[in-house]
Amino acid sequence: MDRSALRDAPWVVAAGIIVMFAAPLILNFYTLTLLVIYGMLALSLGLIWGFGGILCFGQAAFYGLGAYAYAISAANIGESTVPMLLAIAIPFVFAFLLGAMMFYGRLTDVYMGVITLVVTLIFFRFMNTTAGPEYQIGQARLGGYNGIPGYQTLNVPGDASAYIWDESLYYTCFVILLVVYVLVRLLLASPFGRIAVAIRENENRVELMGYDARLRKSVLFAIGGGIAGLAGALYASWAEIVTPGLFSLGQSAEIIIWCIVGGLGTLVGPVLGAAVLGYLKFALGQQTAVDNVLVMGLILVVVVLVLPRGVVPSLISAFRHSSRRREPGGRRRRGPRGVRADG
Amino acid sequence: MSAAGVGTRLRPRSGRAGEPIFEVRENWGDRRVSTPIAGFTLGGYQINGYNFFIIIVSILLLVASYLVLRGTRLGLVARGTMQSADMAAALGYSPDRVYMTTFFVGSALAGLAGGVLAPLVGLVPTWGTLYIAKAFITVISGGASIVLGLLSSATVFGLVSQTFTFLSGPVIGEVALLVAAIVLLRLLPQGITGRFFKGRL
Amino acid sequence: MADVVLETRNLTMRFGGVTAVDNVNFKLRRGELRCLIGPNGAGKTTFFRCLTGILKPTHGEVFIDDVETTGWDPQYVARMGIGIKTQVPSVMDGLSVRENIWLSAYRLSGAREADRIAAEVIERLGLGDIARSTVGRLAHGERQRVELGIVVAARPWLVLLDEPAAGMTGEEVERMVDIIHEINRDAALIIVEHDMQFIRSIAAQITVFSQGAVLMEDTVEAVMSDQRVRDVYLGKRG
Repeated sequence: MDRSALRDAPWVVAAGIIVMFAAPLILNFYTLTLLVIYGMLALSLGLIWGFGGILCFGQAAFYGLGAYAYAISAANIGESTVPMLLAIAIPFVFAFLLGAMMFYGRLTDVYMGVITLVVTLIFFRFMNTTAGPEYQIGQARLGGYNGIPGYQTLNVPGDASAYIWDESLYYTCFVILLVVYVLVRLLLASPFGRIAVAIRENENRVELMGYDARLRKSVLFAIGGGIAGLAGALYASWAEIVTPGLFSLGQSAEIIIWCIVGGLGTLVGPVLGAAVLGYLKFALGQQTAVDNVLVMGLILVVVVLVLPRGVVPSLISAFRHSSRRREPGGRRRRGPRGVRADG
Repeated sequence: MSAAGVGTRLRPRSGRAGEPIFEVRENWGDRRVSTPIAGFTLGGYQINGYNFFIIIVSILLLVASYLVLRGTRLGLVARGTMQSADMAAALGYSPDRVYMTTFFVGSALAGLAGGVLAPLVGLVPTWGTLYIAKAFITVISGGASIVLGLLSSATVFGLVSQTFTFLSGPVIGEVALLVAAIVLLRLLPQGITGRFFKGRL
Repeated sequence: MADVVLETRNLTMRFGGVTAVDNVNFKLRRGELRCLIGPNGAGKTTFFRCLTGILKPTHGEVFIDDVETTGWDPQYVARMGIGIKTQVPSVMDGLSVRENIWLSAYRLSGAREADRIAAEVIERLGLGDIARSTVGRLAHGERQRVELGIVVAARPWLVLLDEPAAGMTGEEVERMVDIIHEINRDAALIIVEHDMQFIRSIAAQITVFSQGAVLMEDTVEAVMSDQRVRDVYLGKRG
């Protein structure tokens, strides 16, 4: 365990708690909850892309899978604890298998991107065709493009009638996000995390050291899938309906944009990117003067041109730069780096 | 990228009707015009003239891009930059400018494709996005050789997709295409031309 | 452990119509220090890559410690306890020197022992001043030393080095010679090199490659004074 790598984690968590209580002063709980869920989704891609070097064009596949797994099992089981666990486990296993298929096949870079993209499209197309009554799992009809409505939403574990919604759903999601954040930080500080970063840096060298990079990448990819699945389940509980739109190309692209704008190589960056851009999309959706997609596209272009490493890493190095000037002789620490073109 | 072509094609149409654009979107079904080229019969078969035209245009474009890449100095520089940007820069070519040019040509081709295809489909502003994923998948699955790779992957995917569409409907056809892409990339991790026709254009 | 720790039988590697390694039979004994030399294109690096599993030979077998490893992935070859350093420095650029070395030690030793080994290796290779620096910012020679540190930290019993002295300053080369002798106390080594000065100071047994085949195997002195070797280096083939 590399303790020095965790030095700033308590501060981030403290700041997160302040934000958790401050944010409701500005926005309603309903919108905030969605932003927190987006943050968790971005965190999942920020982990595998920023630290594992795995560019996944189909993080939405795991998100949607988690949402559907939750909706289907909640419609059948009722009480939400088991559906919640299933919504993490199913995307986890699926991501592991998909990852193993890719990494043991030595697929890299853009080829991997295509596979993940294709998988998402398959889910999207398939879910759209399940309108007929023959597509039924237990009590749940898949419902095609209409999606699945009317299942048990999140409840206090053990008590199916104690729904967690609105205000309490917001706090629950936020606390879960903070817990996931801490767990991921611990993971990254552990030898497993260090080796994952080493694989991002130089997969050949890690293999020459005798580590099995393929297995480790599959596991990391699966963890990312599990977190995305958890975000999906929380989304399902928030929206009270799941539709194939969760698997759409637009959704996948949005996650990537959140990560790029927020900054790869950090965890806070993607989360903030998701929350800010998610809010912007919501705010722009309130008016009709400017097209929402146009503004989002513009933001992405500007950020990529002006701050190619993303907002948060640029801020961190700017901060370090200024603090180093104040204390001469301080050794320069390298800021978190973006993913190189080849990794 | 075909969005550029879509946009230009859309403007005169909505303008002619003298209506705001959002109504075009809502009524696009009514507004279809017949394709500009009449059909003809060949033996016992009716052939749609415009579809035939598209096929001819595609073949011409493919041959033309092959000839440009193969035979001209510009094509040679572009291929060289693709193989090794540093080396091309060392020889005095600016990779940035080469990328700019190829991007320009690529966008122009995409625009042309949009324009050519427009009479066949119901146009909405977001129509181009339908093709992004497929174009991406086809190009990547083709591998490093531009023309041959594209030709082979497009043939494979087209065949698979149309066979399954014919057998059991368009959705299965599309899913079959996607599954074919996964299987193909799993077996040939560098795309089709990573193994076959290696080093050819 | 067997007396012969590495052996190739009729090892052949062809690329299209070119035979880069032609029917090489090679043996390395326990604790031996062996240099592979030869002019550019003689096939020594290709031969080296066949040993490490980076290339799969067209024909013939590789045995390491009496186990046939022909066609194994490098990671499995490495797991036999073999340290490999490739021609281009292969290090984790975004991590610190210490992390690079620590990760190598960790696989076999666990976290606490890895801390100790990393500290010891850093000390031995004189990397103390730059232990916390990010490897991507170091000079070429320093990166070469970091990679050597990665190799040593895994406590290998057989070490394969491809041009360890390439791009190093004179002082660094001298230090490298000492390091190699030190590694040789615990491990056998195969070193691919064409810097004659360096080879002379290592003073090892030498295998001369020419046109994909073994031209001769002897001591430094014998090789240096051999007319055939001179011809090969001056381009008078055959």
